[in-house]
Amino acid sequence: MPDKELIAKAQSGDLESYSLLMQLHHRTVEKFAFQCGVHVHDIPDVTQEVFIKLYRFLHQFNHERFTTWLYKITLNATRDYYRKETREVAKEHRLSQNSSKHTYTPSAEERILIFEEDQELHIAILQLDGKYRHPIVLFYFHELTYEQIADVLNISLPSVKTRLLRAKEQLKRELSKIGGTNNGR
Amino acid sequence: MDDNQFEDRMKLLKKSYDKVPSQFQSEKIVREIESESESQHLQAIEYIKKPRKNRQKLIVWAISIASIFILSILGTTYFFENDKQMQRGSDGQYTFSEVFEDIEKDYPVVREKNRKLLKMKENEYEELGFVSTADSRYDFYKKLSKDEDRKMLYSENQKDEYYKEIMRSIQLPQQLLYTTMANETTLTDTEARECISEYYDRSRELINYYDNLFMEHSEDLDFVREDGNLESKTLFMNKDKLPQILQNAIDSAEIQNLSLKIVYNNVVFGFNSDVTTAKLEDKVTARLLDYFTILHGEPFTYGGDLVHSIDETVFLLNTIEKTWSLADQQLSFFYELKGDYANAVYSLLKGSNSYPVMDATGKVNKEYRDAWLNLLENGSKFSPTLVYLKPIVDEFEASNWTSSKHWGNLQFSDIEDAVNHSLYESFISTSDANYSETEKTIGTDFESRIHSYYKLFSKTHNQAILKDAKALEVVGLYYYSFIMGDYDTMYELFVKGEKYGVPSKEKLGGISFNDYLGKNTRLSELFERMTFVQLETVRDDDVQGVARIVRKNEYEISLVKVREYRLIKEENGWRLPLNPTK
Repeated sequence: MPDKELIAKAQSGDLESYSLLMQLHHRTVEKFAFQCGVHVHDIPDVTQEVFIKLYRFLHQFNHERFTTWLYKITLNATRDYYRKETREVAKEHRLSQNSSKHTYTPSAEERILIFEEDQELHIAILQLDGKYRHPIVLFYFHELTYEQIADVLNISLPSVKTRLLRAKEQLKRELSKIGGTNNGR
Repeated sequence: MDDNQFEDRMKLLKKSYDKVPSQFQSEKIVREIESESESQHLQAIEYIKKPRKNRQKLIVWAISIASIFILSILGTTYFFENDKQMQRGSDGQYTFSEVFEDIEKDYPVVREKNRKLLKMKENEYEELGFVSTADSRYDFYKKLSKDEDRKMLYSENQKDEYYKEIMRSIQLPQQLLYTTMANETTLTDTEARECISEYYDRSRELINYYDNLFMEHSEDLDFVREDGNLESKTLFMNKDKLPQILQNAIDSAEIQNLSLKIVYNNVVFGFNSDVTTAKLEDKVTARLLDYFTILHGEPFTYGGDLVHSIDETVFLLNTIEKTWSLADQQLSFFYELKGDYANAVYSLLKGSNSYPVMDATGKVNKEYRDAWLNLLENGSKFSPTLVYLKPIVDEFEASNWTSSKHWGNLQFSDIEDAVNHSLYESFISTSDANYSETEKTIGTDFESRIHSYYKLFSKTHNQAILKDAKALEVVGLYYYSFIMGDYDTMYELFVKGEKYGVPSKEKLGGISFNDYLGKNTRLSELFERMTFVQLETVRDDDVQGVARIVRKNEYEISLVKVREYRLIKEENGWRLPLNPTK
């Protein structure tokens, strides 16, 4: 069943259709959340938050708006996540200062991005300021057009182009610094 | 690193992202959605199912719907002749065939005239909800008029009523306004709410049609976009270069008092409050007219971001708080408005990607600070802001606007709870309800009464046992059954009947609960006090009321300790709708 039909059915209160709609789009949300810096173990919570919020807006959108809003709402959810995450990190930091034992285990992120080159690039992207990170993620990993990115981020078309350009420059510079030029798999 | 190398690295990383694990459980999300919104949703559904007109109109409507499914099987005579209201017609002088003569002559003409006024194709027009409903009713009357076995006779008044009713059902929003304006007297609030709802519902259908039309023709607007941005001024300047179908839509929407707006580069249509308000100002009270000012501001949010400036949003939120009342819950958009309010507040308090709440120094931006203070200062005595916003502002002020625990923990549902709490408090303070109950403290007396009811009722589920039970006792019993894990008894406390939409026990497949209660939990550990107030009954609507429970604090941070349960009175006393909490 196409999205359009599922959305129409979900709008009329059919949760089964909304469930199918979620099945079709949850990978987009999960990946986008991860690319925005959400920890792997928090992805289910963020995804849940996104789809619950999306449901609240269901009466407002049609097929075309659906994907745009999916990204918008995921962005908002990741922003909320950052806020909570900052508090948690501070708490963990306090706890770790009181703990005498430190053991190293590979992070879940490292288990996903097994190649060092991918890890470096992923970290470089996460270190970009949000206004550069989001356009680059949407453009390269979700294949959104300039217009769609402008719509998701509420910015003008020229801003999208400028930000993408600057983000690329920063990433290339960062990768060159860590010897990315010659790296390959 | 050159461009090609960079592009290759990005492609490889994109592929690696496919390994992001998924623990997605749609069932869990659906359960969350159900527990969050089912009550609201059901209330909305029930409103639709509830009679909004007098009994005769209800019967006509019910028969009309029923006819679609059952008429061919059982025949018209059964329905028609078994209805007491219709039997009154036997004193009249017209057969139904004669009643239908004028309808048959005028309905198709007016229907076609309205289609042309909207400049729609027939296939689009017939899909509008109110048009298809009017058509079904017309078809049903037509069938009845040809039923030779029916001997009923109708009076002049009844004939007139049928005619007016069906002609009204095909009226466009603007025509509904003119009909209301022609009223010689000011409408009562109940009549006004019906009128506003009808006007809203039909306008909303047109808005949806126009919104979708412009979305489908989005590419046809590219020539008026500047750097991808769409401005309403540029659009109107180039209106005559748009495809004819879009020009028609703009023109016909304007006639129906609907105006075109640009929201985040998308065309959306909305209510034009000035014209509508002016037309109704002698007929509807000023407070109810303010709903049009609110509707004019829609949408308040777009994908979670505020549509209006922060100042304008505060003005709209203040207007909503001053306007709405639990007495208006018959308005077809009342529950939607509550949700829109909560969404706007959430965005106003949490900020957006483009304009975050915190500035670079970690302080709340001045514009947000002023907006929150403004919202608090201008709120009514029962403003929900006192519940969700005051603790936040107090904490921020104490920390020189750098931190607030309540702000960090604020959930959407906190705002919804505060809204319900505020509406209820305000309603109680002004209500002259003819029936109310209070349990000032929940102690052993209340617990033993509930236990006795449970012992009697849970064994047989004989509904008559609860005939004289108080509304609060039914709520207590519902909770007690929950504690006992007795879902069958909980199910038996739901109001029965097709219009309430409670599915069979098998279909319901178990009720979803938060399993944080143990069997030894006592009601007195959960509740502090309870009140119940019967709501105003509109004509033949169900007798219903709201039970309000002030809970004991369950969590360290809990903005609202109140839960509300809706109850409906049926022949065996008070019962609960499916998932009655809010």
